[in-house]
Amino acid sequence: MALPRVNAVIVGSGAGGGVVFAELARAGLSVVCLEKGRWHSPFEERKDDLVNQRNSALGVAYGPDEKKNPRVFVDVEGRERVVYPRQGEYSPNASCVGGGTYSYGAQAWRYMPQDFRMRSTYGAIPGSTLDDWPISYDDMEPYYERAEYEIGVSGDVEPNPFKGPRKKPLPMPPMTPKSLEYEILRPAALRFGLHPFDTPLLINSVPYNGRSACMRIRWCVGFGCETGAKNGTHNTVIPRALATGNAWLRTECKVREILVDGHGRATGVAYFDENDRLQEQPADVVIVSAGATESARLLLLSKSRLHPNGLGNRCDWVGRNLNGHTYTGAVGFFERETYDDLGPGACISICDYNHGTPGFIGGGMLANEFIRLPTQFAGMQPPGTPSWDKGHKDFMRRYYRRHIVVVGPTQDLPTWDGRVQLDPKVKDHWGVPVLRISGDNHPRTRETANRQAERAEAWLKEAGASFVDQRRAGRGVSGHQHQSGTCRMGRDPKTSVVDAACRIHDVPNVFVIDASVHVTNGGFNPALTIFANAYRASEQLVTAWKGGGLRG
Amino acid sequence: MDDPYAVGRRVFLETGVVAAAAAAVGCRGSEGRFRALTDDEARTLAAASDRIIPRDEDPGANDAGVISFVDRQLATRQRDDLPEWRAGLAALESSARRRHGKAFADLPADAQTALLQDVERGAVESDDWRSVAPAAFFARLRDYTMMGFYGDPRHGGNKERVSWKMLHIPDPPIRGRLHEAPSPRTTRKG
Ligand SMILES: Cc1cc2nc3c(=O)[nH]c(=O)nc-3n(C[C@H](O)[C@H](O)[C@H](O)COP(=O)(O)OP(=O)(O)OC[C@H]3O[C@@H](n4cnc5c(N)ncnc54)[C@H](O)[C@@H]3O)c2cc1C
Repeated sequence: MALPRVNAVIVGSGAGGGVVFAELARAGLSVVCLEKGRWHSPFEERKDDLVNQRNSALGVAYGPDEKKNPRVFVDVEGRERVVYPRQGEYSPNASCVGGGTYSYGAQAWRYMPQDFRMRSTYGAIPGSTLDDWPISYDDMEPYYERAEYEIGVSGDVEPNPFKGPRKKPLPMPPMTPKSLEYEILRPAALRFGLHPFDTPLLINSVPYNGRSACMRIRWCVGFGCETGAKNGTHNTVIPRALATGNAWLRTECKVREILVDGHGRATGVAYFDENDRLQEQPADVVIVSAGATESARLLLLSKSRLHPNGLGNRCDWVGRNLNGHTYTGAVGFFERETYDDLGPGACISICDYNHGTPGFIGGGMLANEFIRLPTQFAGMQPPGTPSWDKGHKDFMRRYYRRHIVVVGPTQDLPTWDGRVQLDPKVKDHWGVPVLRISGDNHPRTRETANRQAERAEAWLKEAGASFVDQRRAGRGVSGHQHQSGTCRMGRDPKTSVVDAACRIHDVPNVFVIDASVHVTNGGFNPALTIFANAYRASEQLVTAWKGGGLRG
Repeated sequence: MDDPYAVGRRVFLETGVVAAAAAAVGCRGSEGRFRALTDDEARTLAAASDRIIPRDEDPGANDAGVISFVDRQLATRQRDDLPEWRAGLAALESSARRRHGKAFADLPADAQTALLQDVERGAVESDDWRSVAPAAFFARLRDYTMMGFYGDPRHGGNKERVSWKMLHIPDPPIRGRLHEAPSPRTTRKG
């Protein structure tokens, strides 16, 4: 039996979905947001070192459910196996109210102007589907600003000469006092002629929007924040949406399919509710914000007479161009203390190597890394150091408090074969086909990423590391927590899935608003760009709604 | 060293001894009370994990209660992995008996280490390792020993936070602005 009709239904309450939820509700639309995961509260936060979104050795803390949501992973040799959310090959992010933003590291990056024009900047690259975004940095600038102010960002990006033009400074100052890693890395960068600055973070450095300032614990990335100082959609835009009175969030609701009528127009969604009963939510507009892997899955699952290959998939682009980042860097081992127990971790960055290296395509930001818990560091010995027995203990005693990691997200070249599809055999707990992930990263991405590792090494050496172990690029499709690209935004319906307003080209009332639409993913963590694009797309959606074009 | 959180060496050593004694008592007292492992399996695992993290001036794997960590995981979250652990521990036993005519736990430490090195490299008699790959079993043994030793005590290992003390990590490790006092030097007993 169908539920009462609403103006809009949103699938997923993560970075993209949370913002759309608030914007549509504020504009007066009746909106239902269906979220597959639970609503976690800061007060129940127990910081389990082996069960979290960063170290999932024994499981993930914020979904998806370990047993109910398998996937199939195909490696570069073509061997396939069933994988689960705690495994890297799964490309897990999170599944709960707030999506990835509940437990993320909260680095708050604007992409650079070139990042929206990668094809124009670097030309056609064989083996890559590299393209420009249909919008520019200038189009995004006002929305970046809204995201920074409405969700809340601290830091100081003024010393970064490579940033795109901006009208306002960040709303909150950087954290003080500075950590030891900051004090060690900053002078070294300056001696190199680099331009270090305080990493922008979606974390309160001072009380902001009614929540407290960060208490500087190091167990931050991968965990929820027990004081609520970390800003995600769960504690900013989602409560604002609910406060309007015309917005409803339903948790533990698993959307199975977008329903389409005989004219190819969406009529709502079908989902399994918290008791696994099948429900129908009719709506005038459907917004898909399930994250780059699951949004593509939902479109592929939504087959109908006029859309036999799934929604938006007339030209076989849905699920293609899966990319996240190729993370490389270096671990520096010091003979001095580097550990001061002052979080949240990442605090100093450089953008000197994002673009402009002759012979290389793109690049990425470099920053000091978040925490390494002792169990994680126990696997970080350089080649030649024993991984067990007394030699291992000596290594731990000597270096746990005397090392720094510098890493960064190298911008990936998207590829046609880096993709998600529906697996023909494996089904989830609800009997729905699961994703099959396959492909490889681009060789030129690996070259750039390895160059970044060398630069991280040089920075650490200058900072006094007595030896350094590079973390170089491996092979394999990228995706993971920075997953993007599977429902590309573009002007040409033949080479993209949604238009510049994030509307599916051949379905008038279905939008995809999350990381899926990123044409390329910058050399930065993506969340702020997802927020900003969601503000931008919501504004266009509301304008279209008011014009009457979207009503069923 | 200007390390505000460093625990004095002597205090630290004493802590290790206390923890080791407590662990030994706990072990004897819990005969037959493992939730997933049999006593024999636990004995093999105890011996093997003590080679992964041996006791020296600091506590070793068993002092930290790695066995109770592994047992608890195999009785709960990792239940599905029990058959593979079982097969691996049995294979390790067979290899020990084939090579030395003795139980793994009764071998001298050097012989245990040498055998584990071969398991790690996959250089063991395949007859003993029919149902489980030696290198994969070793990786699991190593990873779980590390988790049991360095992980949060809530999981059943890292008793008395011995590894965090060894690493001079503030105790409790969640600190920041709200906990700026130097590391507590109290040792919690029992
Ligand atoms: C540990 C960690 C650290 C990170 N650190 C950073 C960082 O420092 N900076 C940064 O920029 N980014 C970071 N990220 C990445 C960031 O969180 C993601 O890029 C972002 O959340 C993606 O937004 P999204 O809207 O595309 O999808 P998500 O935030 O993943 O939201 C999708 C939501 O949809 C729900 N959903 C999926 N399928 C269905 C369905 N069928 N029915 C109903 N609901 C469904 C999911 O449960 C999920 O909640 C991190 C992520 C993690 C996990």
